[in-house]
Amino acid sequence: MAGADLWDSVEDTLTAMQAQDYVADRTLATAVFLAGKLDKPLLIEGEPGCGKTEIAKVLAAATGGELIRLQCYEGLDANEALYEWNYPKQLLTIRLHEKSRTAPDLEAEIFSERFLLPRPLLRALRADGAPRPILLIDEIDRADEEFEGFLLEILSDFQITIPEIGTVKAKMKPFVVITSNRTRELSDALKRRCLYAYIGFPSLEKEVAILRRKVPGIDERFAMEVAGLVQRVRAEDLTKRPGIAETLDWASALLALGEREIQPDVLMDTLGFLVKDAQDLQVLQSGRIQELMGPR
Amino acid sequence: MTAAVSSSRAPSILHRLGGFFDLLRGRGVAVGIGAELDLGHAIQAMGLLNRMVFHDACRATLAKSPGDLAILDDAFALYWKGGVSPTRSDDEFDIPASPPGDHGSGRLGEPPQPRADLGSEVTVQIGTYSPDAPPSGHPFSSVDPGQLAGFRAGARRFRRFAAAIPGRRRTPSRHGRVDFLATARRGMRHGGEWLELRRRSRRPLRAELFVLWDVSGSMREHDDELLALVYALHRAARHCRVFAFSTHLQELTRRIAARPYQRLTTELSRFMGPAAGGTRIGRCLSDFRTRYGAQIQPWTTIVILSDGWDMGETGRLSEELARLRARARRLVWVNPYAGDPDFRPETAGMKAAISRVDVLVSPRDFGSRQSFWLAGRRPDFRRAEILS
Repeated sequence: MAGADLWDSVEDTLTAMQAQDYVADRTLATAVFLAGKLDKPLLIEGEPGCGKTEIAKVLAAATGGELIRLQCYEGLDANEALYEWNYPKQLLTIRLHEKSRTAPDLEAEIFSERFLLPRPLLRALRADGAPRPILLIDEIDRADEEFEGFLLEILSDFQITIPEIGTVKAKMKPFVVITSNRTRELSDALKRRCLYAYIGFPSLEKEVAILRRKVPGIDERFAMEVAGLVQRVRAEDLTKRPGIAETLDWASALLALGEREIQPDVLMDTLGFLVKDAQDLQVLQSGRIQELMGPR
Repeated sequence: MTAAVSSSRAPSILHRLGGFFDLLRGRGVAVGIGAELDLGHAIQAMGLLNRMVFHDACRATLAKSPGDLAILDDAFALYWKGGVSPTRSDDEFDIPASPPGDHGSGRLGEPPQPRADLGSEVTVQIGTYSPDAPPSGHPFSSVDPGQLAGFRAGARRFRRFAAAIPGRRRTPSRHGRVDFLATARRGMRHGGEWLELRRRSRRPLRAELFVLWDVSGSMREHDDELLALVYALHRAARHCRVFAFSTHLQELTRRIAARPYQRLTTELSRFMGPAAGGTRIGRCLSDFRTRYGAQIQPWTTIVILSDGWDMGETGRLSEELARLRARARRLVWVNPYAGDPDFRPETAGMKAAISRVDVLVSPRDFGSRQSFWLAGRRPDFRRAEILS
């Protein structure tokens, strides 16, 4: 079992990500490259809406690998993440064959592959042939600690045991991307098994570059104006600062409204695209609009 | 690691890397053997000729949190300061000839200390003794085991009080909604007959606590009691983050985690800085909100341990408390003096806080069986009593 290399160098990784319109810096590309090279999961933490999930999508698009996504939430358990038996189908089969077949026969039948419902983790382990699948375990901080513990075996050995069938070992290790918004601290055991990258808020230049790539029809001057204003909003005393996703939404909204220059009244009307917390919005709308507009 | 670096410079590089790992560990980054091996493999995969590449590899393999990254960047700049030579065409990576400690403090990994050259003018500050000077720092000592046990029991009661909201997670129970999958699964034991219905009901969310502990000079005489309480809260709730504040905010969670109480008092005494300089509660709460506000959930309980002596703007304190209160489920203020029958919220901080907090209690309420629970069941109980 091995994971085929995704790229041969950090430069290739960077180029491949940029070809998918993902503006990455060298540090992030290094982490992605090393995760592929060392066959280790990549844990990406960072501010919400700054492109953590997007990395997995970009990798899948760049390599042609299947993107298998496990969205985490409170209460997620092994049945929903790994596999489940198709109980209704099993019951139906028992009813249909209970008179014509012996019990051991029937048992062997209903606990076979045909009755197995593979969930994302099992699907990722059973994938074979190039290119490597990309397994995205999204927002793991929303899942319980027990689920984190359950993941440890899979992330270390890339195998699981199904009592009725046996051990399933990955023929080709999936490229695992784990994201977290840091709503809670992850366990040290999980972190030890992963390489790490952090995506913070982008610099002005990077945000302009992202806008230029992601928002059709935006020109350099307007992208600079939008990004500059978002940077000033982030510098405010806010509980939830806007991420890149909010910037992109806002820029698209402004273009849809036919605006090519940001005026105070437009900012007032559309600030909700950027600031998603009621208290933050109230603070900004009550007397901070002029300051946000900056020197003109 | 040995296999990863095989050039003639290998012993030197390994020695330097070992020193770098020591430096990181000394500054609180938990660099394990696995991370060391990862870096070794990364070096093997990428080469060790470029300082920037090496730095990026260190970030990807050794750090495990944003805090680790900041420490690593700082330590990297300090330790691998050979850096880029302006005379070279490319940014070759220099291995320092000797540990920075050789020139400075003498201990590997410590930042080099400036040396006072003989003959130059040096201003030397000489400490003098005064019997009236208050002791600096936090010399914690243990409370007696009975008091600690009382705090721990109180913290467990508090955990139940804080975990009052049913979550989305359902667990098997006698009552509640029928779980058809589990019923079908159980039916397999009886030849597919659904002889017994399995049920699930919503499990309460786990208590999630943020504890903000005022460690300013005015709180010094309550240090031991409050440390015991903080320790008990941290042990009782699985999701509990602890911060100390006076003029700035400092997270203590990792310092407190997985340490026996006796060792904790010694280690925190060494770790915590001087207590002088006053208290800026509002500013610290603002700092807390901007840095950790996104992690405050609607079911989070925020516990503030303070006497309310505030040297900052009380308006800001009041505003910050209102903003925290709006985000969290409960805001609990633990004032060391609140247990006194004559207590009145006279300090500026307490006056600003009194209308914002849900529950105001004293540390002793955690040690007694009934007080806190009563206050918890009737959130206005304490406040109403004090204001009347």
